[in-house]
Amino acid sequence: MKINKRGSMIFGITIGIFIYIMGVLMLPFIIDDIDTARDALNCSDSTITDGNKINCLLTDITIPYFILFFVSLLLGFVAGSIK
Amino acid sequence: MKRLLFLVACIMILGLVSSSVWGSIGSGDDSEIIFNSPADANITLTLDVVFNCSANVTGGSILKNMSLYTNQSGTWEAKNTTTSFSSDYVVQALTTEAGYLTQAQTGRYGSRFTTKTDAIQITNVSKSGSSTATTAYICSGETGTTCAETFGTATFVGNLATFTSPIDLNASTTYKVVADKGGASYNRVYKTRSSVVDNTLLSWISAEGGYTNEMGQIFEMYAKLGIESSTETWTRRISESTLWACGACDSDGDCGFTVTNRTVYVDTTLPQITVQSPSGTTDYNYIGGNETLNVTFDDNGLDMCWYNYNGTNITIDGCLTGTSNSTNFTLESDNTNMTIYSNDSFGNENSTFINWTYTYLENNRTYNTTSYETAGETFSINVEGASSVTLLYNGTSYTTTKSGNDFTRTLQMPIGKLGNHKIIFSLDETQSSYTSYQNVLEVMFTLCNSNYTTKFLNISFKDETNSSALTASIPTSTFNYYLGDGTVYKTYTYINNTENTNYEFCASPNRALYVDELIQYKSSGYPQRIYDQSAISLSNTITNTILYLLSSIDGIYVTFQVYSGQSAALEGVEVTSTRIIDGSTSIVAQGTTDAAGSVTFWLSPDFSHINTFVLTGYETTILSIFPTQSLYTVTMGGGTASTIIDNAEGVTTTTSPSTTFLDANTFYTFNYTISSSTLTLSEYGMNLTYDNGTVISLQTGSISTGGTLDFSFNTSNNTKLQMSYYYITNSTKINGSTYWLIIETNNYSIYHFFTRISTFISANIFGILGDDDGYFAKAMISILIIIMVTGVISSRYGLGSEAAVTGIMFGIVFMLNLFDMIPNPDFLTLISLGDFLVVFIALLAIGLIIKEETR
Repeated sequence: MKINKRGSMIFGITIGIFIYIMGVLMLPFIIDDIDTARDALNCSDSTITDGNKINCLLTDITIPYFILFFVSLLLGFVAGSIK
Repeated sequence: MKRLLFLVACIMILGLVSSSVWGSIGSGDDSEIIFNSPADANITLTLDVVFNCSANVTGGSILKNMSLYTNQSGTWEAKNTTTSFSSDYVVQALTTEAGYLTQAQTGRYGSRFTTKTDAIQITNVSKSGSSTATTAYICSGETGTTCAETFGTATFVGNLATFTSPIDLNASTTYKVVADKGGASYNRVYKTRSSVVDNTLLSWISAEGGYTNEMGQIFEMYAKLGIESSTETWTRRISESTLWACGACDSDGDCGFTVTNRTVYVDTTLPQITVQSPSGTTDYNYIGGNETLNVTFDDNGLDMCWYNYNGTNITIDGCLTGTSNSTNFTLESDNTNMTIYSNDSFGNENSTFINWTYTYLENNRTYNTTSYETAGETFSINVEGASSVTLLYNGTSYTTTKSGNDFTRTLQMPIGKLGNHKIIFSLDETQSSYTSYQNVLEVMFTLCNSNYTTKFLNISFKDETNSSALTASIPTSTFNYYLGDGTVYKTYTYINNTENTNYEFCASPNRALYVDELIQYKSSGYPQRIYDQSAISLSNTITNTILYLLSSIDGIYVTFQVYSGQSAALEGVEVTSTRIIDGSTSIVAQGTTDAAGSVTFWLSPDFSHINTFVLTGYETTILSIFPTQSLYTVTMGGGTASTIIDNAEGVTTTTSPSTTFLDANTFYTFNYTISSSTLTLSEYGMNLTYDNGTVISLQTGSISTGGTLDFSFNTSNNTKLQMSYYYITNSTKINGSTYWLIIETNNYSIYHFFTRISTFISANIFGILGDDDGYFAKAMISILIIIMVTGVISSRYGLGSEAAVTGIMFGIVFMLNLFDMIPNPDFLTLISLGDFLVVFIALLAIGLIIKEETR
């Protein structure tokens, strides 16, 4: 069965939204791990070692990066389906 | 022989022991005098010292006395001897056993007895009532009718002979009690029969001799146990350090005293004085008010405490050591210091000088304690330390006028609010003064009656044409009366349709009363006239007012139409018509123009009338006419255009926090600040509410030049807070409002990430701050980021547009500035470099976009 261009676009957007939603639903689980990592690294203490500070920054950027990743996927599917 | 020598030696040893002199003796000796208290080198805290010693006597004798020695007199001397060692006596009776013998003898005879194991004292001897004996003896060494040693003699008084001093008898020794013949023809021998009579302290011994019919003549002695040891105390008042010792003597005449002396020192320590209050700076008090002195004295021998305030010594009754003593005193003018004293029993006196200040010190306040409705009352306070004072009169705030330390406000007493009214002054809106009261009484102006008899005004009526007296009715009249400036007044309306010759009005209180009269009066055959008298001062010196009427046949109705120079009808013009009656100018008509600018009088056309037209803002106009026409037109000169009042002139208001977005669960101070440079604010306020309108804080102020109202509040988990604010000036309320949105920061956001970067940079991550607080490092990183990001994006995506590249640079610079990555040179003080670059690149980008669009 052939899918026309419009159907392909809707399918692509649907898949993109589905993946985005699934990704967002995973956030609470990641947040717990981030909290654990922050506590272990003692990130709220500005006197920790420089290495730990870098680890803290990597931990902090995880969620934004994660969201950005799924937004990119969503936009990728949308853009791909429009082509 | 050996036995004899041993016996002699024993007797000698016993003799030495029994006759030894004590001398200095102490604890552990056979006989001993022991110090009990006070301990040696004791420091007494009281004048009265209790000296305590114990004495123990051994060897069969008894304690005769104990003495205390002190050196108070400068020399040692025996003082303070105690001899009254006591115990209850015990009757030692010969019993009633028959067997006493009386014989005719030449000497005195008695009955022998032997003491038991304790030394005793004989105090009395008793005889029977039938005996004639006069004297009793206690003796020993009986030989025939004589005694070798007599210890005491006592005369019978009645049937009882009492020895002056108790007769001391040793233990286990035989003595004899004897009575003389007492005038009888024979001597009496009192003795027991052959058997021994055993008592508790002694045993009566049988004696030789036959029986007689005189029995029981002496039948008992009073004896008591001797004291071998005792503890005695002497309470003595000392004034200086004192040496002391104790001594004691026994019944054998042997005496001793303590081996050493002891010393009692007197207290020389000064009492300690610690003042808790008043001290430092206290918030508020007033001259004549109570101030509390809280002071702690420390001295175990504390005697007196007092303070000297303004030259007067005042005792603190019942002051205690080691605890805070509280007493009140009345604060006096220019006296915020005192000296506190205390001394102890030995006269050790200490003192402490204290002074204190007040943030606000009210020197005095003046006002009338009694006032009346409508009266003008001035309230003033002289207070040090206040920059503004608000009068709170019966719960309502009023601003005051400042002159030096004097703050004054004049109020017109409202009507209908009688009784005691609270007077409080709020000092700088932070401190309230004490409360005083003003009693407001009723003011009354009314037709005289039984309750009000002090006449103030008498109104009578005359015919204008012939000055004959008339009766008149008053269809209606209104009297506005007051004691103050007239802004608050009471109104009395009087109607009487019955014609009377006069009307008397009375008032209370008996003081100057201002009365604004508007009276409509008429009589039969006389048209109604109006008497409109602006406020005049009346008193109990009655004011007589004559109102003139003009008969129906003598006058005409005359209407005055009043216009302004702009031909507009003037309302409210006060028109007064007068003419000469009986040689003096009399008012014959008064009235006020209506909305059409007209007023109508009933006037006599036969006489010249002077009509005066008065309206505020216009020149007073006088029209002198014979009122022969029914209409006169009057034009009043002057007048001004109505003034447009700007109720925001010079008023600035600010609210804070200044940002719209606030963090959740954070305390903020919400304030409303208003200042007015020209207008007088009568009130202002703010109302902080939740989003649903529920009030969080409602505050008002009444400083005429404005002030700040603030309230600290935790945003907690609210989403929005609102503040409505207002101020009132020229009786106009100006409103305003603002709001704040509460946001909860996300710990997982990009913002949080960059905030963390900024924090770590501030914490010198990788030594980024260097020696110049990161000046160079931040600049280098910023330049690298700008060049790399801009270059990479332009190269990767082939951006050739200047506007696009500048736009990317703007975004990067904006973010760098946001996170404080762009350093600021010291010489830039007006604007930071980061802010300048952001604005500059933004303008550059906009300019390039416009340039490209217009190309």
